[in-house]
Amino acid sequence: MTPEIVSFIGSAFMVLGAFIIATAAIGLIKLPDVYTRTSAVGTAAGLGVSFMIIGVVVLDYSTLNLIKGIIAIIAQLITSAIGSFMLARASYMTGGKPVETTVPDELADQS
Amino acid sequence: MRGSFLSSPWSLPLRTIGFIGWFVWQFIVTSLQVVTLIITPGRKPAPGIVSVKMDSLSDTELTILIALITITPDTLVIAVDREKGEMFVHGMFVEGDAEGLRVALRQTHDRLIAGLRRNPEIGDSKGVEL
Repeated sequence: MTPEIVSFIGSAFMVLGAFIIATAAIGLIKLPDVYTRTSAVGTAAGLGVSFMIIGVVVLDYSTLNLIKGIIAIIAQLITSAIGSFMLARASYMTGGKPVETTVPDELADQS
Repeated sequence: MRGSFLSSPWSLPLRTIGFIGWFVWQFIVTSLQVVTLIITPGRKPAPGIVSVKMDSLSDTELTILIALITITPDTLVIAVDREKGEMFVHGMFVEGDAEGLRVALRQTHDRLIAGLRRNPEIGDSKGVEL
């Protein structure tokens, strides 16, 4: 592939990743309660970061960078999953109520 | 013979790769759903919390399942009740249809077992110890 095409694909991935992270920032304001915010923002940003890493690896390709990129994506997704779970659990245990449009709410029905 | 190959220990690498591919696809699709929800003006999410029965999983499998459910942007595990083998999952696009989310989560659960266990069809209650 010519350098122009490589640079185009890499830049496209990075712009797309930046767009997804910007969307997550808007979601932080728009979404109604802590649970929707955590689940949407915590990991939609994960996809954004993954796209940026893919873009960087495409722009500056080497086998070592590819391996580093894959490890970075996996570590990013696992840590953001555990972080989201911990935030949701902490919020539930300190009595954070989900927004009223949450239907059904089987957790509230049970306790 | 094909069916017995897919349930034999030798097909485990194939099943694991298949599961990873399916999961990456799910992750991208649900991420884009959440992105469209956020950038559509005036659209509100229709969240819900459902309880899901999660019996016959080892500790390792349960941890992986919780991580995978939370990684997909539209679902989030809030609490786990180990004694009753039950977990509470928050979904962003439930729209009152609790059964639909339960079926989807059950599918993730079954696919995870098929991608992780050496003998997925025996269905032993102990699961794998990695």
